[in-house]
Amino acid sequence: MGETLTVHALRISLDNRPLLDLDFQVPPSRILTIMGPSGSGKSTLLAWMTGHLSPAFTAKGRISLGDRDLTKVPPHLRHIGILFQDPLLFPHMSVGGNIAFGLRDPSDRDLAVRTALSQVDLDGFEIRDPETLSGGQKARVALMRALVAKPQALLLDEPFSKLDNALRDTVRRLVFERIKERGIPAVLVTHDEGDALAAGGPVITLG
Amino acid sequence: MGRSLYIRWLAIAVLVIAACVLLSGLLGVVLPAFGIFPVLGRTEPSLLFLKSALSVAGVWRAMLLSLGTGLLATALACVTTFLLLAALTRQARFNRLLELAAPLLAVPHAAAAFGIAFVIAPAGWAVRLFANLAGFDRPPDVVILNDPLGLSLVLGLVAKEIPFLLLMAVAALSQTRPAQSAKIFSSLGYGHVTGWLKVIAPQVYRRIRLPIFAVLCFSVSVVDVAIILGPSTPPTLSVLITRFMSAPDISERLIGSALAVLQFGVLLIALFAWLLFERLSSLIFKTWIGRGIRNGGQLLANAAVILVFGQMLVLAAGIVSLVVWSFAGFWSFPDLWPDQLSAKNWTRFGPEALAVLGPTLAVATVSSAVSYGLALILLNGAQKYLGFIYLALLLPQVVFLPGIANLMLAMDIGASFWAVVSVHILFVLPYMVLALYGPFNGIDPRYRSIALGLGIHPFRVFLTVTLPMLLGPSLAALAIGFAVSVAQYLPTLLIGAGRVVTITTEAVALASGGDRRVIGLYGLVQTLAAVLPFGVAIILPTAVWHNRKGMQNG
Amino acid sequence: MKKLAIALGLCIPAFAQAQTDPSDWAAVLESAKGQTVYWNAWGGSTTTNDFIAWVGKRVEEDFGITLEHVKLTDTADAVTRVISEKEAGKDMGGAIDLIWINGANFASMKGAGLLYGPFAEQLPNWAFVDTNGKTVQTDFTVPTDGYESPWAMAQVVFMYDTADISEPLTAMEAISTWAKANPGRFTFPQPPDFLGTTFLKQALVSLTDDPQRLAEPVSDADYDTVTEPLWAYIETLTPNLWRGGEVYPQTGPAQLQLIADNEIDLAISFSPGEATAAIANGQLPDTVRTSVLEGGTLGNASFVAIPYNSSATEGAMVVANFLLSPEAQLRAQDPAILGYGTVLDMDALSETDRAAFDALELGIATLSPSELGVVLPEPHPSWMTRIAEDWNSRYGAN
Repeated sequence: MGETLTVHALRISLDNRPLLDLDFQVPPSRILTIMGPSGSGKSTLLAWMTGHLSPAFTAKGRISLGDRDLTKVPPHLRHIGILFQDPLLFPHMSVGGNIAFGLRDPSDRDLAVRTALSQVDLDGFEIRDPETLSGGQKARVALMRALVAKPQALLLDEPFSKLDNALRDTVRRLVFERIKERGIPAVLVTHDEGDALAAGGPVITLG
Repeated sequence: MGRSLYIRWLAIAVLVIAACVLLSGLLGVVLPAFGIFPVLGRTEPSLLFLKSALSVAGVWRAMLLSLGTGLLATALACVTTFLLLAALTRQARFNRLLELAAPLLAVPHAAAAFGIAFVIAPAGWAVRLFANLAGFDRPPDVVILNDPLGLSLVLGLVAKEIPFLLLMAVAALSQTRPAQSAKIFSSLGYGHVTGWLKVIAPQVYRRIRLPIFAVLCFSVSVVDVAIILGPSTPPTLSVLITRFMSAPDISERLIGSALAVLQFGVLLIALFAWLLFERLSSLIFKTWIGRGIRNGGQLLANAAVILVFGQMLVLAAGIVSLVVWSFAGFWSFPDLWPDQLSAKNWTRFGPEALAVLGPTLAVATVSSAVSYGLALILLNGAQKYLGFIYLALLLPQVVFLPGIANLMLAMDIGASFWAVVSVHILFVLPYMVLALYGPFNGIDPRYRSIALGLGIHPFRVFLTVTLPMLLGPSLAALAIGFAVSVAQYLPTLLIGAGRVVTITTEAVALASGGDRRVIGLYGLVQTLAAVLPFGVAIILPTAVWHNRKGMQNG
Repeated sequence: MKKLAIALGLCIPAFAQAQTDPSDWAAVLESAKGQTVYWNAWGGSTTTNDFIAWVGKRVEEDFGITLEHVKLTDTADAVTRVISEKEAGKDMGGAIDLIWINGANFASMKGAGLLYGPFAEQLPNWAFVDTNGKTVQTDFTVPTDGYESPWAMAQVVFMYDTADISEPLTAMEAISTWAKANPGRFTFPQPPDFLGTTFLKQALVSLTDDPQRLAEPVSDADYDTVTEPLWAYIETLTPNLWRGGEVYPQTGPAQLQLIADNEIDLAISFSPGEATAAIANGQLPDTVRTSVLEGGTLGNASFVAIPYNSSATEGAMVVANFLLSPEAQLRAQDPAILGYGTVLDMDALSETDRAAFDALELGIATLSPSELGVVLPEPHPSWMTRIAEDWNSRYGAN
């Protein structure tokens, strides 16, 4: 099962002005919700956690998974997956190609892709062009693409904000179920209270 | 942003080398301009030659001509490109149009200028048509080509630059999600053209600003087109420099170098004027947007479409005239057609022309391939310092190339294939970076974050995500690089020292003889060499991504 | 790029061979075998290019020399190259082995010590050269001193279209009068173009009171007096030129196109055979003929010179020598091929060679040697530079 995600004594500043001061822990299967208005530093936090913080910012603090300190680990070795508000499927690959892209073990590619698609009710979509999918379908493919890479933590950057209400509930439920099923910690950034409620975990409000 | 240090160092190394080469070229201009020229035993700096440069007959007018024609040509090309895009992007046949534009872009400047000259000259096709109807057998003695105000030069430059800007703009367009924007402005009641101009055009302009600057620099300092279409009493400053640099008296080169320093000044003024022009039009533009006018752009755009089609027609007719001339026997005014058509010119000059195609294509392939690699290294590792490499586009080649030739000589690098290739890279690389800069930075950085979050090594992310998403722009860039290399005259001549010969050095040498048959034939072969890759650049992405809607432009 | 360049630089063999004494011809031939000679020559004339290609074929057959024609737009490009090489200290293994040169370019290169020599008068075929009747030992009054070898004679002629001009115009004044009656039908290449400047020089020589003065370098003391008739002439002529003198053709051959387009009826040429060859090539209408001026026209020789740092000096000398052979001279003089005047002395030739020269047809628009009349010597090169500059500030920058 998963390990606890810890952000310890983080301070991010821009031009010597502090932007964020945070310190939190997310145990496996839990979803920490971070809320706050635009510009409060939510996306900056996620960028720092994935190792993509722009050099314009200065950051102090540590991030770790279990007892592994990830602070200096390059992005691709952190095993932290991320979902954005846009599904951002790779436009040059098929649906199957998108999912297979993150596979750690390519030996049984076809089976893995089929299983993943079937878990989100998209059986037979392997060779489809992502551009021909509906918004909800795209979101589900994006989720499975993130999960087949076996992330040890998942970051969610307002992943439901562009979906209409009916779809939002379904996709949200699906995502949260998968996180709990995998037993990994997750951080959800949102400004929707419904998201926070559904996540059911602790809430930090920024700004 | 987490790029590896390795790539950063590599990029910096590329820049340092390019900068060194350019600086030595610059020194080769600046030192003689200030009177230091060891071959003539001059080692003391002096302002004498700058002063004499300023008192060269007609120099002020030459500077004004360079400035005026350069700015006017760039502004016209820019405005018509945007109006054309606004008018045509929603047409289903737009891609068809691009397929027509791209080969025109690849037509080497000199060949295009010769073609245009034959169409619009007083003894040209247009007048011949009229002469046959009106029944006169002497062409009117009126100034059309080489007019003192440089208008025919502007026409020639505009016709050549529109396809370039169009291709750049289309590459940038694919990054701006125009379809979504179009839905939004249509729903607000904006006409397509007006809405496009108000919403999408500014985004596209921001992305193709660098190519526009390149067009401006090119137009201000162009030599070959200016010789063929521009005024000659006096000519533009760059042509004046060429005259001094090719004067038999070696000491004239000092004045030529001083003029080159002036040329640099003219260029800075042109850039400054353009920035001012940008400010001004942005102010006007904002008022226009603010007024919420929803239609009215259509009329303007239609006018632009007609204008561009007129120009493209002239250019296309010019190319057709190259074909006809290459098969012509004696062909006098006012005949619309040569006395006899024969393959004589082709049998006489064809084998030679085709023989130099080999080295031409080899140099172009290698230099554009290497430049492509270098451009990607630079874009990945050193975006902040890209300014350096544009220097190669800013200076008139005739003055700064001898400096580079000296450097190569000092390093005992003979006139070899590789020497020519490395200097071509100097001119191809900036165009590559220009062509790739917008598309490269237009890729949503979150794709990369996602891929890295999936645990993929950055290099593999680059190969499997960034590169494929750049396929279209990459091929366009390669085609442009190829065409740029094919068209290089002075670098090939000075560095190749005649030992590396390309279709262009041959064509220009033969063109000085003024025989339209040979010019036509070589112009055609040269055009073919440059056009071929454009065909590939257009067809390949459509073929590869035929089942990926997200990878189509529009 | 730099690394690559250095690496490749190492692959280039060093050109470090001693130059052979030209008087030891057997040794010259020996060293020349297998050399590649890069001949830098103006590439604007397709007939000349074909001739050079033929020379290449012949020296390959006879001497095992590979001749590469480097086609220039301007001889100055080659001069620039040699200067750059000297500047970079590349005193051996230069890129240019032979240059088609004369006049100011020669004066300039010789003055700067950029030429190899003396070699010309040691060439075996020098024995055939007409040193008395032809200006082959001075080039625009500058002594050649064996630093360049002649290969063709040129003389100013005027090409006119008999469809528009019935009688040849045989004096500078007649040209001006005719131009006044027929405005817009005459022009000349824009100075400092070689041929355009030649037109100015021809006018100067024909109109000045004291042609002898032109053999001496130009001086400020009497420049205005000497050139006064020239500028008076040009002042009258210019408004009657093609395009009213606002635009000029940029090169000599560009005039051919203007005649073919029926834009002009009269043009200057520096090659008595050019019109005939151009008619044969379909570049001129077959109604074009040539004429000279009564007081004579300027003539000079075309030379080849060898840069001081040539990497194939011996091969270049062999080519220069071959150009002086009766075989090559005969071909160059053939109006169907090139129509260049020979530099050889007919009396020095063998019976058969002389007969071959005699048997040459003149061609439709070429004048016979006697019709060509008096050949006037070129003024000192400083005149050329000065009047070209002066013309430019008077008419070239309005």
